[in-house]
Amino acid sequence: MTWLLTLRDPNRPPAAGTFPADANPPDPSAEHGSAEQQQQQPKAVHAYLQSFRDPQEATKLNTVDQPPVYAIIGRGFAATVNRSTLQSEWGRTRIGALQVVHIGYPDPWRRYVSHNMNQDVELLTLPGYKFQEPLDGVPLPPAQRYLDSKHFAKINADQQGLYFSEEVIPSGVTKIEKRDPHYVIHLDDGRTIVAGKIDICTGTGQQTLIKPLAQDPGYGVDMTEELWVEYFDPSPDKRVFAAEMYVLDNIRPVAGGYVCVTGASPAGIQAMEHALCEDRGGGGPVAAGLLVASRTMNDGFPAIGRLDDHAQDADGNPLPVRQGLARGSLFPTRSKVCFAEAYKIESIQPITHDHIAVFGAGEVSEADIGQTLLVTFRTNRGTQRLVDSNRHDLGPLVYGKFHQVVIGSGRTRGGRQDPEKELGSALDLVWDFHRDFDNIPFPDAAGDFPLGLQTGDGAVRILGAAGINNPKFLRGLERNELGLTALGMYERSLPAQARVNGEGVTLAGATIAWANRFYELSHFQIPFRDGGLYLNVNVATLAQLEARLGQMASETTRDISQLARDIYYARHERVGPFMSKHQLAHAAEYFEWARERTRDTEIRHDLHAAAAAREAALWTEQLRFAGRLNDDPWLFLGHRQWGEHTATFAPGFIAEDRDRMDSLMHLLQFLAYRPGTFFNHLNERMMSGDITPPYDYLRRP
Amino acid sequence: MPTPQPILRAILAAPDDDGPRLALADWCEQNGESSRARMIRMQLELSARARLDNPGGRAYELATDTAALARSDGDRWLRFDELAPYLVGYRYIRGCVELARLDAGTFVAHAPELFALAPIRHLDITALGGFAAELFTSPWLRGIRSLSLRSTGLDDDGLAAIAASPHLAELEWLSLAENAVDMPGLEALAGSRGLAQLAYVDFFGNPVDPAEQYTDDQGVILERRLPAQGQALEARHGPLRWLHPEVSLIIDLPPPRF
Repeated sequence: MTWLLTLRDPNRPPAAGTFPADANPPDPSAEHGSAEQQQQQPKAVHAYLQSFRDPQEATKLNTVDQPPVYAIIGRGFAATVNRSTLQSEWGRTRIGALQVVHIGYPDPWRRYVSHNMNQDVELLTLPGYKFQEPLDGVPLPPAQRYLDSKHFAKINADQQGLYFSEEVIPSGVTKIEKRDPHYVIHLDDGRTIVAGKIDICTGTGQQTLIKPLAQDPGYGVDMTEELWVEYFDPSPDKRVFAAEMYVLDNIRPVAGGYVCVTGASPAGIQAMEHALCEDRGGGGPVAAGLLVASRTMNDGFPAIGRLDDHAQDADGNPLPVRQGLARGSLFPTRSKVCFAEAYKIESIQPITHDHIAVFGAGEVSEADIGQTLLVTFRTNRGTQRLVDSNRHDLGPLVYGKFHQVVIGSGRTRGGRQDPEKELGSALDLVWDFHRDFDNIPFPDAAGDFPLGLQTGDGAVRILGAAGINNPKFLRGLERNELGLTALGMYERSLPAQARVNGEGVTLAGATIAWANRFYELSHFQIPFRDGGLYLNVNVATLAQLEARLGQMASETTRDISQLARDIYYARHERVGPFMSKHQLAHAAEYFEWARERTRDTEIRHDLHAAAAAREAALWTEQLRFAGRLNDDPWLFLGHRQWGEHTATFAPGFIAEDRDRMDSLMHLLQFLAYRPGTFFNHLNERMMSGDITPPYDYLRRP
Repeated sequence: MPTPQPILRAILAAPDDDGPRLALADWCEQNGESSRARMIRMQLELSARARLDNPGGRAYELATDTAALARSDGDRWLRFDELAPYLVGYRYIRGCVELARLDAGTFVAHAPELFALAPIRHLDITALGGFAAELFTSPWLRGIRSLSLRSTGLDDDGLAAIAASPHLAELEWLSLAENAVDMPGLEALAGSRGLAQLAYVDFFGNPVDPAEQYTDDQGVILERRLPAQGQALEARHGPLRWLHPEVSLIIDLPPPRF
């Protein structure tokens, strides 16, 4: 790790009159922050987006000659779910005689380097899809549990292929204009399309710019103009990348080189993972990598656990299975990687002869010129630390030399008045008439949360993450005593893998399907003739579970309403989804057991905080046990979940429970569910929601 | 059957105490309003749990069940509480209507009756309708903790009136979203000495938005930046807490008002 130990030497800090002051640093206000520059940023972003375009895709001309059309903006999974679920009767009526056109760049998932999706297939089987991951109810081994990104992209592409007769316009959209009684969509190249109905399904948008602003030079990353040109260049052979671009499958990490990744997010850690692998686009692995977090690395390790093997705790243990972000101080597990926390990049500059003079040939040389970059760091709010896989603190981070720098700056949110505000987002597209929008209500009594945004006449809708993460949408929601919206309450009910702060695939797919009243299809085949119900037991609302189970009321000895609640609230405590009927039964039994255990502590008239705290502690205990609900052996043995439990809670119970778990006889306890009838109906399709409706649009001309 | 005056007066006199509300629950139970009694008890329990670091799994059940009860029986309770003629929306908190949604004219005309019927502490004003000056100088605003003026056409003069109000000392949460507030109004707000508890202001959809802006990845806030207008306000008026909402996730904006 000499690359850091030498270049970060705090005894040789940058000093006035030497480096970097003599290295002709760019003047942020003059070169990067002018109003003119900022106004040009959208063009730059579009140039950057070119890297996501599929070079194989022919640029089709707009052949729409009979406006207005039904325009679906976006070509990723959300748009595909939307088109698929619009085959509901309600959706067909909505489309009417309008010609459907699809506008947008190809699905970026097709270009991402192959990686697992962090979520089990039971949460990624999307409503209305004909093509799904095969499910046989048998839990997959860990290496196969998560859907691969290329597989996910293929499923989407196959589904999109069903729309062979519909127009596709591979273009970006710059603006939507209201022109009564229709709307005009402005494309990148200046063309316009008149639309009668529009569904915006673009996701939350691409990573936005991190250029310093004239009024706030401390914001963003200070790079030379030469490097800004590189940053926006769609070419894969360059030194400065946006995080989203670095994980495209044609990007080559520099074999034996050094890489710096900023952004303590799953995207940043995946970028580092990409750099550490061999034969990635013909490149890699790098010799060493530095992950820089402006706050802590913990934000990059959510409950999903997919990237957990990149971090260890302060005692050198793997991260435990958990409900939320990893807690405590984190350290890298790979010897090639260091974590830097509470740091930000100050500047990035190409190595020049001036640097050789300042640093000496031992650290930089002629060979670095044109190849490597000098990155200087500044401290940020928080406690600064630079640590390695041996859990050693390496001291302050000042500067370093890297072959590639990956900037995970995230998406910019904020006020419209800023040129970067919601750039390219759904809200930005419709800003001129955004006050026409209101929330889409849940169409029936099966849910009490809104599903996106729509204009008063319903002609323009914003769906999926673009809608439910939209600041306009969030302004229209009330929060309860727990600080959660009704949609937030529902999201908390999903297994933790699917809780991506309003951005998850599962949540987007479900809300779009409900908005399109997909489950009101009247021609579902028995036993799925359940108008209004989403039958995926991992995703269904409580009301939907009650309704579905109520149809089996004569077939089980359990109180159906209570069983639905047990399943629903057990789901809150799971990291992964229910993958088999046995897991589901197991979970319901545990929850019932835990509920009985705490029932006597219910607070009535003697309400005060201490009593509530006592009961909450019991519930905490229950939830710890319910953590056991992730009861597939691979998960809790593979992730040392027992370590967390035995350290704190009821080892006797756990030992007993482990014995029960290991006993095949334990499953016989679920005979109370009368599996011969109950489970034959509550079959594996309820794990996936894989309800195949008639695809009669295949027969359309 | 209206709430007995002694119980109602006790609730209004000590809105933070659980005792009078539990007495109301008992009275409801004894008078055939068992669902209302259940609602009061569950909401009090939920409120107690929400104050804990770990509310526990039961809090989710309570929140779900109370929301369902309010949907099914709320309008009936509102008539029971004699509030129905005044309100276009409401929210039961800790068993009583604490959030009232109504237009400014109704508030100005009927505030004494409203505050005699319920421990109102949160207001959603749906329209100003020429009553802005009377609304913002009303002494009935004393005790109001959150106020939404979203999409009411509020302008700089209106915000200046809020800033000058001597009755909003307890206001913690203020939504000005989708109005016509510009820098003169912001200057008045920043210079106000009467809004000591103000911790959050929503400026979304106004000509200016001086509050902290964010970049995020998967909803987690990575970076924060105070825009030029916010920097200018703090340069002139010192630190302004309401420019820096304490949130870590995008979906936590706007922050809770209760």
